[in-house]
Amino acid sequence: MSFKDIKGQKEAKEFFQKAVSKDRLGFFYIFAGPDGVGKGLFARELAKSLFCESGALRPGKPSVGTLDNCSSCPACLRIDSDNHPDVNWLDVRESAELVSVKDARPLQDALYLKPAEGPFKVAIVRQADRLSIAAANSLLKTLEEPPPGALLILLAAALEALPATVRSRGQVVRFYPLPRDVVEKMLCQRGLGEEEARYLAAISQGSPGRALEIAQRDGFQEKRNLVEAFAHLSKENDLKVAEELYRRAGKDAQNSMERRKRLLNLITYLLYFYRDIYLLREEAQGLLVNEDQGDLVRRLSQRLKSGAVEKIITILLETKRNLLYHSNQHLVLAVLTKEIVNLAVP
Amino acid sequence: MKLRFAREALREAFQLAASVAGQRTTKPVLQNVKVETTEQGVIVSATDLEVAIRLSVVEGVEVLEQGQILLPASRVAGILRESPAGELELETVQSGCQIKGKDSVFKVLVEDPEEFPRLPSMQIEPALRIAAKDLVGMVRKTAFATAKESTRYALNGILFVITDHTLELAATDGRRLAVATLDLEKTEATLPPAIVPVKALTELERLPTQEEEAVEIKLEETQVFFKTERGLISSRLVEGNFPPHREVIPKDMDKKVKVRRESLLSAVRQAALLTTEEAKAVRLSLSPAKLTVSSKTPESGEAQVNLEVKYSGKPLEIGFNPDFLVDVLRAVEEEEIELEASEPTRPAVIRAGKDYLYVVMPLTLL
Repeated sequence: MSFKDIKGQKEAKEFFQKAVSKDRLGFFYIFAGPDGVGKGLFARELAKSLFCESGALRPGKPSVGTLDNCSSCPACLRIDSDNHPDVNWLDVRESAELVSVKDARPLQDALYLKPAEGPFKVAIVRQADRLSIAAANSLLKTLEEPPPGALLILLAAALEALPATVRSRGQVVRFYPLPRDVVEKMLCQRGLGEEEARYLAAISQGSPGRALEIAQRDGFQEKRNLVEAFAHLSKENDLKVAEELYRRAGKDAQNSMERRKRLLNLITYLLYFYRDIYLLREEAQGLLVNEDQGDLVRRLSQRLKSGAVEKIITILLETKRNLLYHSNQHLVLAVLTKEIVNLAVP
Repeated sequence: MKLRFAREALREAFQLAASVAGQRTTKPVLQNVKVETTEQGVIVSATDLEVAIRLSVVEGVEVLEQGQILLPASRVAGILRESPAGELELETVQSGCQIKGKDSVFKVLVEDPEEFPRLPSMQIEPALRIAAKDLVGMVRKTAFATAKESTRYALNGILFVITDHTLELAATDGRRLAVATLDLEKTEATLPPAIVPVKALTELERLPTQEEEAVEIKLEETQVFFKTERGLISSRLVEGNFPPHREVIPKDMDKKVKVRRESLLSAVRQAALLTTEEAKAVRLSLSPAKLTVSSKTPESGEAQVNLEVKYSGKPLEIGFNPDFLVDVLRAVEEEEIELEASEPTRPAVIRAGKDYLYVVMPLTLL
């Protein structure tokens, strides 16, 4: 991995290229953009460029202004393996819903030690939109008087979730979803099958990270089974399908939150399925997301009564909402299949 | 790599290194202790990226094959602790390391030594050299006055000021200040002041040293090094500016009294028995030939302890947080200390010997 391997994000690259060539790198940036589009990768590559032993950005060397790194010197390797003393990450992926002041503390402590290999000290906060107000406020003092050599980067999907006091002090760098074909190509390079890559690229909304996450959970096969089951939904098997759905979402789930998240994913697959049917029925131009199961889509689009698809989509959206509340998930699913059967099978 | 060693030879060094190894889980490689061979023996090292420790072990270790290895700190420390005394053999094998005792064999999975952070060299060019026990004593007399987990990071460390003829250590948490000085025989160039994290200095105390052994100190722009015969501790320095502590040392003290340290310590502790968390204050009343330490809280009652002193100045009543007195009275070793004050609202000074000074803010008495 190196800078040139980061796909898209031209704007961010140009922004830092410019800052670096003019020797005007700031000390506080907010990377804003959806999850899984490369904010973390970009931050890591930026850090590597600052410390890279062959890099142009080492102190003492006149800045030739290329923002790149070799990815093979000891400094780069240690940043890649999270073992560099001057590059610290605050990872909140697995911890509680919000980051407390105490969680954020080690990162700040590290900024207040003199650099070990210097001249920079980089601190990167993942999912900064999950910082509690108190934790965000605790950063303010650091932001007001940054210790020499500090570079703080917050990665946030929801910029608005950061308090205005923090937001206003940073330079916001926008990250954008990637074009569908770029995501598809990336997924193919990772060894995913063509059909799977095309499907995941379509539903990931331009986020290779999210697509890979789904692929890792075997999401594609899950989706195929799901579409198969719903295409053959009948009055005889609807409750069984609902039960199977509930059981599968619960498999290996650590807690009800995880089960809920999985159920929401499954409903999303179904939404794309009925979207395709709707597209065909209305003879609208567009790419089928479920091209791999195109036969089923076509068959069902001929069978369903006019108006039924729209209603099913409404029901699915409502199901999604219901799942977000503390509802009986099993019951919600049973109602879902029953209603779809009533609409689909006269 | 292959070693044969007596368990005792490596255990102590390994445990000391393991205690420095990082508990921060974000950088898993730090939970290892690095062992590398030298011509005479081995060097055992660990770091948490703030403090690094390196210990050389020569006696009782036989190097059969050169090399280096990372050993998981707590597991291997456990193996060395639980193994019966005697000879052990450590050898790198595929994807791990094998530790063999007389009746036991352990295969431990290990990480790549290349991943380990860079460690300082064991050879340093010292800026100064002082007796280990002097340095440890100075640290003991100042470390307690540092702030704990303050966001004013400079106050969490101890300030080192080295001039051409003295070494001065200062620590403050904003309500008290401890300053220990030491005359240096050798005159060296003046170095810029540095703030050293307390962690490095407490490790220093645990370094195995011989009687009369010296510590070599080297200060760089971002790091400090302490070296003894067998060990080296390095630490990153703290960013920021230490408050100008010389300015808060009061100079116009008109009320001075000498007190036996043990008696004052005991008196303060007795009087503190009847204070509460909400009203933690003892009153020191100084009058001719008498020093009274007392406390009074509406919830728990009153205490009064009298001490005989040689004093003939004006009377004074001044209040203190008893903890702030107990800390200092326990840290110093002199038989007699000198208490100096001027007014109840101005800081007081405690001196122990000519090289130690403690400034403490009084409490307002109601």
